[in-house]
Amino acid sequence: MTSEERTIKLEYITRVEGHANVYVRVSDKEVEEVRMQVIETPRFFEAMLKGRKIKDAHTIVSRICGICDFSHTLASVETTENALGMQVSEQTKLLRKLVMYGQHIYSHALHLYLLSLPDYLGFPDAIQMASKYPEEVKRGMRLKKVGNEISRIIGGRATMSISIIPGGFSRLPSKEDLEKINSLLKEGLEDAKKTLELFASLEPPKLFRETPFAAIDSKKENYPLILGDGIKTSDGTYFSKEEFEKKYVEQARDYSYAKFGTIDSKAPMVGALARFNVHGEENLASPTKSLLKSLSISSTLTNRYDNNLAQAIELVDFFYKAQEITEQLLSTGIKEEEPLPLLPKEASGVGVVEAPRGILYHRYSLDKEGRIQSANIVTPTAMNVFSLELDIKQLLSENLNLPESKMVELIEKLIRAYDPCYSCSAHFLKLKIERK
Amino acid sequence: MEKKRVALFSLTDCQGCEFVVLQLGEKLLEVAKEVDFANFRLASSKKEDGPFFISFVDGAVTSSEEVEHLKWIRSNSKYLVALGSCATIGGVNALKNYFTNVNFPKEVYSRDFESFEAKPLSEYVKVDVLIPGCPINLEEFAFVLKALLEDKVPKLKLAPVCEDCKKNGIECVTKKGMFCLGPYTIGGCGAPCPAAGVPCFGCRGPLFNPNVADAEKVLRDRFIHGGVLFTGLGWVLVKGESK
Repeated sequence: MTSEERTIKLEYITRVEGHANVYVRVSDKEVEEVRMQVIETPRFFEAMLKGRKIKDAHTIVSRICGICDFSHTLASVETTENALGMQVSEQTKLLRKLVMYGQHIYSHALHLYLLSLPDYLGFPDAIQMASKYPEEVKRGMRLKKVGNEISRIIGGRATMSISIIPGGFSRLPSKEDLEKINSLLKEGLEDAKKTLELFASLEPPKLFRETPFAAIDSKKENYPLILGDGIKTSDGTYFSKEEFEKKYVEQARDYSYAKFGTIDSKAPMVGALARFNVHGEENLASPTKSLLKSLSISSTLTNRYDNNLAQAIELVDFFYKAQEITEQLLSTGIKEEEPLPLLPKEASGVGVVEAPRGILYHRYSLDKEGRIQSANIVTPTAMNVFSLELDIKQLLSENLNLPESKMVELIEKLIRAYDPCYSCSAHFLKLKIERK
Repeated sequence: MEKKRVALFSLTDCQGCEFVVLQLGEKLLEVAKEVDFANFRLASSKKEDGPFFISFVDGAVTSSEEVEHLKWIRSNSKYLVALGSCATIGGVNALKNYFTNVNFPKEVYSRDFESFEAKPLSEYVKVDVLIPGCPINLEEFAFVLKALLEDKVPKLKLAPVCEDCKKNGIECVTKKGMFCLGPYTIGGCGAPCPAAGVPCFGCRGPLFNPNVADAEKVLRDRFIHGGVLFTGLGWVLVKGESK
């Protein structure tokens, strides 16, 4: 390093799930290099699944991530069912949709209030933010609890589902259970609406960069979270889930434990913002649409930092949609049914779902005894790593004249807006800026 | 009165146990009146140095960096609590310990780097309290936190999961022909798995020294080769098998 060069290290980027570093090298005129280094200790789930019986896959993979556990469980059971040609009942699909809304409500509330909002209101955490904004923090906690309760009631436990198994449910909720969910959703709706009002009133930084947004698509579902048939992007690309590994091209890099991926040679962005832009306002519940109109929220959100706004939109929308399903289930009544049997055979299957932070892909190949021969898992945070790296590069080149502390702030906010979860992608973010 | 400083650290895991702690919800704000969360990376930007009155550590140890970090935590903490199965018995991460012929980094990332056998915290440092479970049970966490704040070191009750089932009126899953690890597993979880119609797979770790030969034989035939290999007893038995 010459005397004009400087290295700045930010030792911790907190309030993200998992560990990662950002390394930046800048001169006075340009950003020379940005590297997203995911340094989460690798856990090797794909290799650990080898030789395991397929009936245990969903239990093992849910432990990939403590916040998207239900998403991994649902991706896993759909993959198993796809491999073994199992057609689950409509009731199973409805209950899974409901529990996935619960997962998203929980995750969005946690991320918006506990991880992101302190950035906007200038506090190190929600606990300290509570001294000045007690109502906001309590609201976040209440919303999070609605999601947790839906998960607990349908899944058997709020973290790490038990009753969601391949072929259906090991235990079905009772009428009382559904009534409880219904009343939680009714009570929480006002909180959800206030969240959207709050996040629509914030003034986030701005970053615009052309990028394909990608989300799962389903023939039978609008704005799907589960039951995906393929992947759709905002620039018109579509491919089936079976083509995923051919179309989503991954590369391992020597500085990161996460692999970097592209679709049509471009780094995609996935998550709430992507879902909103791919599926569009028209696929939101009508009361959500009215609310968007009254708050003058645009039908296309292109500012990266608006991922938080998109999460708030989804939060309200998923309250409405979850309520619709609950009422439907209450009117038809829960039918007692056994989960479909697992009949092992040599086969392979794929599944795509929307975790709160975006597309989650699983593939398993099974031998004739139903043991896993090979597995591949692609997580949303891994899918976003490349796009985030490019975003940071652009963000810095637009703000080269800012003092470093401001740069660091912008980057931290951006990273949190992406809602990354580094346990998934391969803990903790270090930012290193090297200045010439 | 000065607030006691409490820290949460995570090593190799999914951080699910920290998310369970966050399920305290509004109660967390009550807790924060008594304690100062000096280090809780998942939820706060505060990153303070020790000493800590209590450190909760989740995750298994899988790298030399983590060994050093853990030793630093130990030397800066009055009480060290192993939070969750990864920290108490290695957890799901320990699955990889049994594939001695597989180069995991190469297999998944196509290159070599350090990753050694996933081990519980007690392999490297003195642990004062164990909170087992995958994930932990929130009531147990709250109980341990309260006791330690009063300078009392709670002891883990060694009773099988069967007691939880009896207490909660849960029908025994073995009656449905399922093979359940409840009799061999540390209880106190409330038996959520049997309550949901799924047999216990031993996530809280073994109740007894697994050299008990008869149980081992039954378990070998039905458990390991049956393929349910996750944490707890399966972990220990397969370790025996690989010897």
